[in-house]
Amino acid sequence: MIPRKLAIALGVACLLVLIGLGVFAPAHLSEFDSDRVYLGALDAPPFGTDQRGRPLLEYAQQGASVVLFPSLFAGMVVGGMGVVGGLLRCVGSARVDTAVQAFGEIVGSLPRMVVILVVALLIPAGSRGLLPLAFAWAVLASPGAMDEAASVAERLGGARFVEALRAHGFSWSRVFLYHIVLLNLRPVVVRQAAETAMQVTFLEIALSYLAAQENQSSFTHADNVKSWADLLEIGYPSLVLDVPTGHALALGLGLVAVVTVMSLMLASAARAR
Amino acid sequence: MTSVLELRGLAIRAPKGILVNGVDVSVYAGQVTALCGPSGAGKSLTARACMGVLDVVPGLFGGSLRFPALSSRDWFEGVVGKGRRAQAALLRETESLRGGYLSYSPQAASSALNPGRTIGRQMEMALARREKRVDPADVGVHIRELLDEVGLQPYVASSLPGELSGGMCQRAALAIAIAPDPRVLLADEPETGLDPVLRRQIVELLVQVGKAHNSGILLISHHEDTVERIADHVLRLTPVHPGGGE
Repeated sequence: MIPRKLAIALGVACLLVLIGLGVFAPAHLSEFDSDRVYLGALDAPPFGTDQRGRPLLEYAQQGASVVLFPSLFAGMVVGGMGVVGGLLRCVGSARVDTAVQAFGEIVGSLPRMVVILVVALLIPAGSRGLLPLAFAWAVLASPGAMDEAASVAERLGGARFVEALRAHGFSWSRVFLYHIVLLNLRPVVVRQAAETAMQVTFLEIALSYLAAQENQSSFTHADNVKSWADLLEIGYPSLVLDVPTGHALALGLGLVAVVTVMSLMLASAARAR
Repeated sequence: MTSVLELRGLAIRAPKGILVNGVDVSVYAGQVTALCGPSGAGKSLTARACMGVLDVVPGLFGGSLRFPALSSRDWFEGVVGKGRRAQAALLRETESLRGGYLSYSPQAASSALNPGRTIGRQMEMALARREKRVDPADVGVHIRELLDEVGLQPYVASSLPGELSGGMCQRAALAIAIAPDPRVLLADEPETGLDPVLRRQIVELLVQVGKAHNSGILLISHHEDTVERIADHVLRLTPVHPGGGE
């Protein structure tokens, strides 16, 4: 297992990289420059250029700006729903448990990708963005988070655990926020939130890649903005054809790796103790 | 005999019927008062009434609760028969007592020990509720003393509950319960889930440690042999309403 401090450092570092890229993203890509076409990372630092001589750094920045807020927002929604699920189990009310179970069964039975595509199609072309899709994804993912958090609360003893802590003289807020959420639900909630943030990023890449392959507008961002999927699309031919775009593929996969490492490290850092 | 807890005429009702009716309990410093009886007799409800953590929803209860070592007033006064609001009021009213004047050793240690915190950290929080403030520099010494008192090694302080055996958890829960030097130590069937040898050890340890701290012990048990052997005062409860109680 990775030491907790190292996991925190790596997770936060990856998050800061993404925030740094997203915050400083240019509104438009640079102008066409025929002298700098397909330059590698050494010739055009830090990441090289595309088929029109534009820096791939701008792709990375714009892609980060597309996924940054929606993925963090979706993570927070799922984390929040997980907290709610865990706390509701500690209330020890049969009616509340039934209502939560019904919500979980109804939402959990919906085919996730179909719902996402329906939501994507419902959004007017002029106001497309990842946020509504991320929210829909978070709502669809929340029954799993609620169920897992409720299982943790159940293992703690549910209402009995609350009562025992009350008997030890702790206030309601201390019992629920500190003992239950911070000490016990935290690992589950943070992991679910980090996983959802990663999933939303991958969802964006998948949808944008499909749109790019079909020469259509993406559901997740405006046409003047590039996604990390564009890096993969530019770089993929280098695997099968003699095209010098391996650096774009490496950058795209590197960014995916940053998101994955961030998710895994934050989840690892949130473990008990 | 110095009385530390007096419960008079406790009556608890729920929509289904009467759960506890007319129970009187007195707990004395340095002595063991045992509440025994079959399942459904209202032992745990009576114990919760003593702690002010009743969870009868919508609960209706009556009677009077006094802590003579603290004040002469009735802690149930003004909250009789008002259901959920009364329950909330009583919780607020008695909050300052719990974990300090009143301490609790639960039925299952697993539901009293927080799995996300080390035993030492949980003992620190309990020590912080002592009437006589513990010097932060001495906390480590107090923790080692308490662990030694309940027969645990010092390394247990840095362990999470999940890393300990059932018997060790029960001992750790007892160390946490006794850490605030309570006037009343309420032990709710502390022998539950333990084998006969360990059961005897834990109950004897509870009595020994409680008496060493001059705490009045309210022991809830359905093991008549245990109660007969160690209790100074025995109160036998019988079910008032079929299916009600615990």
